[in-house]
Amino acid sequence: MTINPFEYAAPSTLDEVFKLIQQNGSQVLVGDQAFVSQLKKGLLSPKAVISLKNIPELDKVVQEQNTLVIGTTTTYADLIKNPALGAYPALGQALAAIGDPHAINNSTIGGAFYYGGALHGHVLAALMTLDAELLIVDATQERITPITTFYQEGGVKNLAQGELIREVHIPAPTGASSYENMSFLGGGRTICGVAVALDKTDGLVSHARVTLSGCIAIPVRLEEVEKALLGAPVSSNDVENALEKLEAEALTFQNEPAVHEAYLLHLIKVLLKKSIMKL
Amino acid sequence: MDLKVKINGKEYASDVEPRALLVDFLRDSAHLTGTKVGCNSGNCGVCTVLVNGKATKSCQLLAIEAEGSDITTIEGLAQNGELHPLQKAFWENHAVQNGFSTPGTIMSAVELLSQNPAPSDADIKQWLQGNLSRETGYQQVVESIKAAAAELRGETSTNEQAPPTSYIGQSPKTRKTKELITGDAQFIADMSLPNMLHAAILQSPHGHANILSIDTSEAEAMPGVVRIFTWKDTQQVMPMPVIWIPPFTESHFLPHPSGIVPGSHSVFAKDRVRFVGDQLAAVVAETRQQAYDALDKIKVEYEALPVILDAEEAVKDGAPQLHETAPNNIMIHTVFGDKDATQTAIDESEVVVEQRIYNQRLMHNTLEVRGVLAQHDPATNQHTIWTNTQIPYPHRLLISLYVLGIPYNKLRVIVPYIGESNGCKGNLYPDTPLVLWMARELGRPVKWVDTRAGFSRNTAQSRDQIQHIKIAGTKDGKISALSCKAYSNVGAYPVINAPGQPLALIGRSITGAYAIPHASYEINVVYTNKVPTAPMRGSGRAEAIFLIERAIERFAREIGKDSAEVRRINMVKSDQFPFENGLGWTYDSGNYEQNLDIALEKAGYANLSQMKADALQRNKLLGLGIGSYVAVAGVGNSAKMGGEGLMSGTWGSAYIHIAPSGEVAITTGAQPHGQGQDTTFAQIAAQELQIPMDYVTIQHSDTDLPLYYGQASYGSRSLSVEGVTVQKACQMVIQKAREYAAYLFKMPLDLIEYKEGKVIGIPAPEQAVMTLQQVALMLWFGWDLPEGMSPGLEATAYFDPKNFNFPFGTHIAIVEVDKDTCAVELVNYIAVDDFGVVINPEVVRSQTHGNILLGISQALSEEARYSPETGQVLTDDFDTYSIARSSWIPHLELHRTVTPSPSNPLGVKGVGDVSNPPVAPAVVNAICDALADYGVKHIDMPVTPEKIWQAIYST
Repeated sequence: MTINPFEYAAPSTLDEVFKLIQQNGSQVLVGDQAFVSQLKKGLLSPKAVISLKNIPELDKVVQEQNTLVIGTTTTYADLIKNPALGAYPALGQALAAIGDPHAINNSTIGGAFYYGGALHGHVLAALMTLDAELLIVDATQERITPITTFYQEGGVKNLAQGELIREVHIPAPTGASSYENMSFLGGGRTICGVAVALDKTDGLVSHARVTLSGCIAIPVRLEEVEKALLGAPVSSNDVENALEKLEAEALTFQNEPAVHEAYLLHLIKVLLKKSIMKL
Repeated sequence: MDLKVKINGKEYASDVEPRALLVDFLRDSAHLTGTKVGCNSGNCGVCTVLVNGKATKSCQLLAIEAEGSDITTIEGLAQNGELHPLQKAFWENHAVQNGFSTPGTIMSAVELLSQNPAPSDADIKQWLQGNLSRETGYQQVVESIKAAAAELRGETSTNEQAPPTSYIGQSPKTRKTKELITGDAQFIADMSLPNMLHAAILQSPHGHANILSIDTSEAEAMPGVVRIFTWKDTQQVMPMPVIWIPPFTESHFLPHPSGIVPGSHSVFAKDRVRFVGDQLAAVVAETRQQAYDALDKIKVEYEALPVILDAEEAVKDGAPQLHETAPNNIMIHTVFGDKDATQTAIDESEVVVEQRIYNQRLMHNTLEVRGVLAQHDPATNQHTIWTNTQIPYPHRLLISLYVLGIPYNKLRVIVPYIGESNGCKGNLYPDTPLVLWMARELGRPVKWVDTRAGFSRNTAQSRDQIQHIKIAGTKDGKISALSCKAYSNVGAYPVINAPGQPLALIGRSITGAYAIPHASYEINVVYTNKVPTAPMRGSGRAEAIFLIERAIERFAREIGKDSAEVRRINMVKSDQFPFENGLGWTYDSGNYEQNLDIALEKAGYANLSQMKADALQRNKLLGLGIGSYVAVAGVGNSAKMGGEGLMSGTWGSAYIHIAPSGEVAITTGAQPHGQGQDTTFAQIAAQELQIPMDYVTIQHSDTDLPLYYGQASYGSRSLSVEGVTVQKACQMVIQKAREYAAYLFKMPLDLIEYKEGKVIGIPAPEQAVMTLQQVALMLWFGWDLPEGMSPGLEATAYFDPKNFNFPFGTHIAIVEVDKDTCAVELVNYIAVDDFGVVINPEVVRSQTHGNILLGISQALSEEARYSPETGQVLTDDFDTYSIARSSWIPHLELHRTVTPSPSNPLGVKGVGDVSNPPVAPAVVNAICDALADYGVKHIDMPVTPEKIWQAIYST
């Protein structure tokens, strides 16, 4: 019930934003509904909230050479309508998995990284599989960070006070991709989801990216499975063999809703196989 | 901070705290209370508004973030007094019951239709993923949205209803619905009084602990705090009373100073908490925000005690003890039926099947939480409570007599528009008298509206029974005996009438639709550190019917016979009524086999093996499940209920008054909360009085209305008890009108007929004729009355049925289980119900949808979970407590037969919750049928994909 009081500012220039977000206890607000959830649960307790709603250049979806650039305050509703999404089936399917129109209208791509949570898990998984990167900026410099390294040990984010996640960059696809998930009775509450992208050379897998979401706090690439898929054709047997490597992954399941680990492992394999066999 | 927005086309400027949510700004600052607060976590959708045309849950957006936006709320939809096509369609298609979720659902649909002018059923269900309906179901909502889309496309003319020639059996649009679809209806959270204060109540984080100290000093210094109350401030307040005391066995309740009834918990815990909803303190402050801010600053020191959560464990020696008055935590132990004879019959049977069933703990989780607004006028000593209860008259009696000790005639209870109850609002909670007490102490009105998390801990939960079942019979399918030993987990305290549910409602109902020669039910009603329980939609009969329908299914499989055939062999035959079921119920009327046969035929039962084969081609395991039922409804009879232990009459009451203008006002003892009695009771009166329905007003929800003795609505009793009383009241004024006419016309009474709203002297129908209005006017004048006749045309009627009534039917669910993911999909659902004579078929259809929705949700998803260490409720929001959403529910195929009840002159039977009991067993039977080849015999609810996977693969 109780959200602690905080200061609020919605500057109209990035310079002002950079000045304000340097303050300890400040929190960037990228127009995402998960922010309010985090406040209510006490997971965020900012002293000051700096809203980016008045910085129009952060709300954009543009193709820059081979890269799809998505501004941090771009809503999923705008993204879903963008024709560029056609090249990234995994992302389109992940967005479609969200379901609730409110969540699509009021979630932003930046929110996925700032606040996370179950709903953003779909999109994060797709972005990881698509080798997306973040453009992180502060008052003086900018850096590009792959999403996989943005999350560090224990879920700590590679983001310093004063830095801003400005854009998400998705490189041009090199192969096919897909996203599969199982929601609890289609209720939007995902038990688990998997995003897969495969490159094939002469019918054999030459590059595989596989990400798991839903049943873990932050989506994670399944590197052992990826390795096992390499060099083999996409056949039922080969995929099943590769999926045996799932046991070798170091996964920490998020036990809420309470689902038995053995079933989760089974389900992940089922979804991965379904997803991979489509490609 | 300054906030400027446009709402419904008007500019609003206001000062807001940055932390204020849009929903609070809309409701508290802009005073637009049509936007509701439900879960407060973005799950339920009752707070949906349009922000720049986009469906947005306003509890998930900071108000300040909406700066400069164009916002549309439900209040902005109707233009120039003309309802929006969606509003019209929801009304015309009977998609509105209690209406709490309606504004949010309509707002969400507005955006859908702006994007997709011709959505399919699937499109709509997909779009409504974020809008929960707890009680109304989704089918009529989907139909409404399609109808509105058609109108917006210019395809339909308006659906004008011709004036009916008969009112009974018609489906006029429901009354008191326009204000629900426009957002004008005031629910408890929408109300305010001048000079009103706000309360917040502190609950325990421990399910069981000693309280060492409570320090309120820091909280008292917080801004806006007026006073903090703890047990020290309420020592004159008596504990809650218990009004269900079975006379046939020993009960172990708590003491109560009245000496009349036993007691339950107190408004505040003093030295020990026994569940996490035990109240420790209340902050009263100038604003709700201030009250909750201060609540966080109260410091309580606890000494945690071991918790006991399982009813079967709780009765064992050495288990933590809750109450000194209840050794081994047993509140009541008793047996229904002849246990020894049943055991002998079981021992002598060819086939015996045993099964343990856990009917899991459910949460009512109404989208509207509970709230209380109270006021005391010291000049007149008048006390007034506004609260969303389904039992206003019992509130008046219990609070005045047993809790606060104030004059009955100085307490008025008013029920505003009320969101669904599902049974949980049929209780007396300590917060209610507490709020009144605090208002009186402070001399200012006090309002308390709960939070979703608070609700999960203080508001009654339900079901939660462990059953050990034995069913026995012959190899050719004749059942000879059924026994059940059960443990009902009723939580930490005996809430007013809660002991009744695990007793008669289950115990006398376990033989279901079948004639079983020997049956017995042994029950331990057990205290634990869980939240206290109360009846929930389907109450008691849901546990009983699940038990027998699973048992008969297991029995049929054991003997290798078709379970439909085994049901048919054992069903009570149509020539056996009235039928004594051997456990205390006398089934009134029915043709059980007929409904079974219709359901089987509609479900394509003959083609089941082909359906299974087809599904298997798609990697799906198809199963069909049957749920046949009989459900006791229509509480009274008062004497019988007294025999069960209910310390209250259960008659129906109505007061009818015909004004000199001819207008008819009827006050009913029923308490509608979504069932449409305003409409159906007016239909009964219009039919009986043979006058236009528009002349009739139905009144309720206020104990100061001219009906001194009233009861309540629960257990599908409203129509068949209170509704029949409406008919009787009409007959009483007709009788008086005829007697008066006989006097005026100077004719014998038997030559006066009442027809088409007139009294007519049969020998001279042209001259000797008066309308009811004329009679009412003349009787009001009172100029010329026969000896002994009083002025006025009014009557108070009571109806106490001699027997209950017994609706029945058969439901069939067809499911497909994905062989890989083990996900369950409901592919078809058929319900063939018999509710006797039906007053308003669409209202009945709405109620049936609600019942099926809840049953599906119980079967597949819902369960209250607790921390085994602390006793904390883990399922305290709609993320963790999963309620059926639109996309889970297939098109529901509803059929009805009509077997009039002899228990009342209307021939009606209960409807409100009776068709819930067959749903969960039909679904679980279907899943077990789908998994039969894997040797799966039973899976406890909720049947999740994970449990299915364990059942079929872990072996």
